[in-house]
Amino acid sequence: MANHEIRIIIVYGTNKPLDVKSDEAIGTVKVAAMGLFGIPASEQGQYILRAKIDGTEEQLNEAKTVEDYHLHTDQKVTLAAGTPFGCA
Amino acid sequence: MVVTPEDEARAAVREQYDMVVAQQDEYGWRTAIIDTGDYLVIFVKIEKPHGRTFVLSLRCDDYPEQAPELRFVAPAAFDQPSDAWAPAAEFCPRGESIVNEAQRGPLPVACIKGHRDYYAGGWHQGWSNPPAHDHSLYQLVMNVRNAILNRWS
Repeated sequence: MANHEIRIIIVYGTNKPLDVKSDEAIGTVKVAAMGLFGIPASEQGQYILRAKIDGTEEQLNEAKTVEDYHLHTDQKVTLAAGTPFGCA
Repeated sequence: MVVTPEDEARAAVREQYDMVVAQQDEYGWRTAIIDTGDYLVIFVKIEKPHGRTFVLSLRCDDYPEQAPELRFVAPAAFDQPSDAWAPAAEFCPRGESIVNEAQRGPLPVACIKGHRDYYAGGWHQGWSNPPAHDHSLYQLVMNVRNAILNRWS
């Protein structure tokens, strides 16, 4: 499939649009999403992306691509803390 | 006009509260806020699908100098929010990263960043003024919501 660009909505308190390419890795999308909210890339280990996939909310695998998840224009993708727990 | 520390705290809390409110349709939580005269208290109702309903009480005295105090109160508190509702162990979630009562106090404690007990007594580090993004009040609500849906019961 040809590489194409879509505009997803990053949710982190407020909603902000982010243009991404279909072959872009989720990990790259995450860093770009963090940048929208002024979060430095150095903190990328502390954040994850979540989205509804086939009706179920799940954490997105950063090694996969936008196309792998069939993310579409105007789809909401949540930026969230990845390791909010202090102990098991 | 004199801006008091209490006014500054209210403004900081309102900023975070507005973010929580803005996402309530997306994440299915419900919110309320009261002003006790000295500080703001936020209530958030989170329903676990096919499970219990939880109501968080977040006492935001001297925020963001100190983290909000997180308590779980009776679900009925959401409809008549006040700071008179007493927290109890029976209203708290259970599961991973919940420290049972009697270990750190009379109530179970959620070992999740962003609330006062998490940092109390040097248990964990990370609270700052202003709070880092991942310790913010909005992010605390999101983290608790995710934990209720995926980890706690």
